[in-house]
Amino acid sequence: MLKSLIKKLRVFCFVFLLIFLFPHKGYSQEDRNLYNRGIQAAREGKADSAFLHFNRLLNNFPDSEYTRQALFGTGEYYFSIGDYYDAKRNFEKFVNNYPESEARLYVIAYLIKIAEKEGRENEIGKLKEKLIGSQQVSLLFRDFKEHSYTSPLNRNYKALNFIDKIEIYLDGELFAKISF
Amino acid sequence: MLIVKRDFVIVNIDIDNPSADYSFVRENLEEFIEAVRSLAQKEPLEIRIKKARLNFVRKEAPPRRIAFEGNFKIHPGRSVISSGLIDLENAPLSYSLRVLMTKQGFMIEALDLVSSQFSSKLWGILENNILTLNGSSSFSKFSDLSIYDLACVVKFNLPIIIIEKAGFSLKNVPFALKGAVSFAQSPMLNLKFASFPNQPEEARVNNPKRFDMDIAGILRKGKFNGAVNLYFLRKARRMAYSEKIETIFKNLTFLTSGNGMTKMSFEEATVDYASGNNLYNIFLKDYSCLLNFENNLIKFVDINSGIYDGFLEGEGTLRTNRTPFRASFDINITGASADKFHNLLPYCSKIYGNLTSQIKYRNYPGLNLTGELVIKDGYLNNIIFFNWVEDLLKVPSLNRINFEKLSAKFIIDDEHTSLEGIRLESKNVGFEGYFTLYENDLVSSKLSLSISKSLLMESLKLQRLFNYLAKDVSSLRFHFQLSGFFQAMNFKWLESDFKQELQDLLPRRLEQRLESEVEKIIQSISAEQTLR
Repeated sequence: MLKSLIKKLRVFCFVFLLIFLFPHKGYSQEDRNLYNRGIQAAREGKADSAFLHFNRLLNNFPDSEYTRQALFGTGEYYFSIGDYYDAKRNFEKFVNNYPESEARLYVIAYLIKIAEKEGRENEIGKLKEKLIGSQQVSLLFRDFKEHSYTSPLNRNYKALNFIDKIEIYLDGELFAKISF
Repeated sequence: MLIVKRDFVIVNIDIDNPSADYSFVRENLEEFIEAVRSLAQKEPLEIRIKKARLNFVRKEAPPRRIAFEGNFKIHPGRSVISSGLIDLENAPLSYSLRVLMTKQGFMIEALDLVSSQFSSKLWGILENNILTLNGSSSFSKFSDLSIYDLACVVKFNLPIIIIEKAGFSLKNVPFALKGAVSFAQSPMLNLKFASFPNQPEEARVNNPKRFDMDIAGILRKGKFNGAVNLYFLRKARRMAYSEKIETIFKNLTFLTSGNGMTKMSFEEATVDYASGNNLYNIFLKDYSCLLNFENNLIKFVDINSGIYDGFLEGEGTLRTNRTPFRASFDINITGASADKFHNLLPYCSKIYGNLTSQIKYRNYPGLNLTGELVIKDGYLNNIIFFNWVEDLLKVPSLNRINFEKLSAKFIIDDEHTSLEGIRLESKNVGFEGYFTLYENDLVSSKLSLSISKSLLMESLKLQRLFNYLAKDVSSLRFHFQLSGFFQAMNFKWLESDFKQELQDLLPRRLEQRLESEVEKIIQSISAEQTLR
């Protein structure tokens, strides 16, 4: 009986160690699944469902490698439904935490739009300067330098950097124009 | 016998033409006062003094003289009433005084002072070498600069006078003055003057009427050597700038002439002017100007000064009936070395030559400095724009460009610094355009550069190109546009016939490679310049 007890104890310890010493394997699996499900939903045109997956990822896995994309995706969604407060919160987190991201200039464009809608003139000026300072272009034969980006919500962004203006397009429509 | 038994009482003393040295009077003053007191014990005593002279002998300086005429009525109850005229070298000051003697000094019941410049009504007490004075003052030439609610405490520790505190109101703004003045062999002064002295610092920092002035220096042979520093807030259209002007003077003097003009002169002055994060520096020498004080207006007439190694002349006005004072100056500069002005205009650090300039300065409604400059027989050294072009075209001579003439108009105000109508005349390089730098460091510029073929042929790259293009031209012209932030400018090569020909010649992928190379060059040079 004692031997049986010790054997059961060993099995229990092994399972215990398996679950708690190697948690990251399970962690990254879950957050990746959420991210992939969100991407899939977005491709199928189900923005609400995509948002839910990205939002759950942010809430449950705040240190995930997919946080950057989730912040952008949820920010996009909040903006599209007019929830500028939450959009601004997520986009500001994005700008602060991922300054080298290729999507940064689109995030700043969103923040400019939100500031315009809320009439925060001082902030608009500072954000425009941030956008202008994010790129240095040299145009020898071209009239503009182009950059493209597809968001987690499967929307197509394009930035055209001219010598004296930046135009941001969203799904082919002019989204923002900053002249300087 | 009858006569010798009578009491003699002196009731009048007339003193005509007395003369004494200040040091003698100072050493024996207490005895004089005691003697006068003892004479006035039973009956009032009147003392009349005519044409008195008090001489100040100074080491290494001409002696000064104070003339005095007045009368004193001393009552046995220890009150003194006096009136008269004090004349310090053609600056007469009339006074009337009523004091009550106390055990340790005297109480000033009323002291009125009147001169051609000002009038004051004062009262207070002087005991144990501490003078407490209250009152008001007004200035005849500046009716808006009347002082009210004066309350000061001054300690006499001769030769040092310590102003422990002196508070007053000027144009409804509270001010405080404190410091010390020494009348030793070389007189010294150290004074601090501030508005809103009792306002908490957090509020005072943002108060547009805050003003601080420090004066510290010594008088050598009657000339001031030291520093005068001003600190204030200047309101512009979009924001307020914390500013300071720190000036170190060598041998500053003010001399009043008989025709009401005052001559201000100094041997040298270094002026450091800081506005926000910008620091400017000017060096002046052998400066002189005439000051004409009209009502609420100070005219600077006939300004002449050395400026670095050149010469400055001009005129200006300062209106004192508004706060801040409104200044307006027209200045001409000739014969100065352009690079010496790099502390005033940073671009000048890389420009060498003989500079001539006409400048208009106004500080109202905002800072505005406009003018023209011409630099002759000089060179440009390591200008970032030419660094780009040099690196791109591989023409080393573009790092240093000798020129016959460089001219431009400039505008500097709170919002931007702009060079317009830039024109460079040089043997192998021509340059035209405008360059504007805004207060947020954004740039707007269009420039046109022509380079002689002989210079371009320095570049092996371009030699081959000339075999295909531009065979018959003696120079090539390039048009550029710049934008973005100064530290990381955007660059665009604008359209021209030559560019079109080149594009027709080059395959697309070579165009892209060139674009990429140019981008790397510009970014690396920009980064290098930022690090410097």
